[in-house]
Amino acid sequence: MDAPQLIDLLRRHARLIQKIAYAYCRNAADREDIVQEVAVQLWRSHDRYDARYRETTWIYRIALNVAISFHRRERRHVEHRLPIELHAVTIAAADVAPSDDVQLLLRCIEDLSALDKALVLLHLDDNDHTAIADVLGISTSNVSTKLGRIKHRLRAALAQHTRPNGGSDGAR
Amino acid sequence: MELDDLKAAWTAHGAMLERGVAINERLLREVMLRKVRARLTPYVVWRALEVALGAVVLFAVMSVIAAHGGEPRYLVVGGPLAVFVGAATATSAYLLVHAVQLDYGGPVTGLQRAVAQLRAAEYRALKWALLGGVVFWLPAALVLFEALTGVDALARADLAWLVANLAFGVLVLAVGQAMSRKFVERADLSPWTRRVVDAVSGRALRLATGDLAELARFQREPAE
Repeated sequence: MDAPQLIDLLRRHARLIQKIAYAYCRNAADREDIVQEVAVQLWRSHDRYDARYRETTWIYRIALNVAISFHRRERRHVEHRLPIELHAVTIAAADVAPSDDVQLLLRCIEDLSALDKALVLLHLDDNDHTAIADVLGISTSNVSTKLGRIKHRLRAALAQHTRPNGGSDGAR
Repeated sequence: MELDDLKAAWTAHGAMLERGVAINERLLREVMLRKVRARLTPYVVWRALEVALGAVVLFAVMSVIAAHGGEPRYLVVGGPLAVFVGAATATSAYLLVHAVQLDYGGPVTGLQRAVAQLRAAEYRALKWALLGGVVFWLPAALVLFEALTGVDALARADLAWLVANLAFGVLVLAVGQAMSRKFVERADLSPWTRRVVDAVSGRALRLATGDLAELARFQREPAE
């Protein structure tokens, strides 16, 4: 993959990558690090892209892997740098203030495991169970079961956060 | 409240991120174009100085010719020198005007084209200045010496030496022009020749070309 191809890829999927970064990091600098690391991984693994899968599936996999690794290791700095100076990375790391509802959502999913969080993100992005299973490498029935449990758990969390004096300043 | 109730907010968040990316793109364009403009500022200043200096030299040469109106030596040697200085000054003025009139608000490809034209014109201007310099260096030195000191150096110069210098200059000019047409002014430049052209067409234009290429690369439409 050459630089223009990587730029095209980042432009087309900046929103997806950023949403994942938002779900795993509250800090803007960390989010930019995630975008940078995702760009590096896309650059490195492009040769291994299997055209039978949708491009978004591939991007989801890479971005989620990066975000989960980042989250687990609590890295404060990216480990790799692109071999080229790429403004597209900075641009793709656009920072916007989330709405109250999104802040509420992010607070509620904060306590979920990294994998469950990924599942929620894929569900929120309107991926069907088959697509979610493809990205996460689990069975479709497993997706349904897990999603049911997560929804149940989040219902309680949302109720707690939206209840008056429920400890949430994002309650509406 | 259910998880699915927050889907709309999440989608709206995605749209906001996309708008953020679009804003960042515009900011990058502005930053890069500001950089290109800054890169070209020394180029514009130098061309303006060239025009000013050219006008002064032209005035000096014309004054000397006018002072020796009836003398053939001054007409035959000073006349072409005046034409050469006038042409060089006009070329600098042309480069200056085109550099100042670059349209930074238009498409990047248009700006790239204009800078590429400027580089080509800059190369031609430099080539003719160097080749012309070989022809006219001696008359120019003599005439300017006279303009500065009042000593009629051109009238006192040995005519044979003067003619030999001019003839040698014309020969170098002819060979230089032929080599330039054969090796440089062609579409399929070798990498080495391209580096030479890049080097002689000026650092400012070369850097500006690099910045514009980077901007154009980023602004390329995504291949769906």
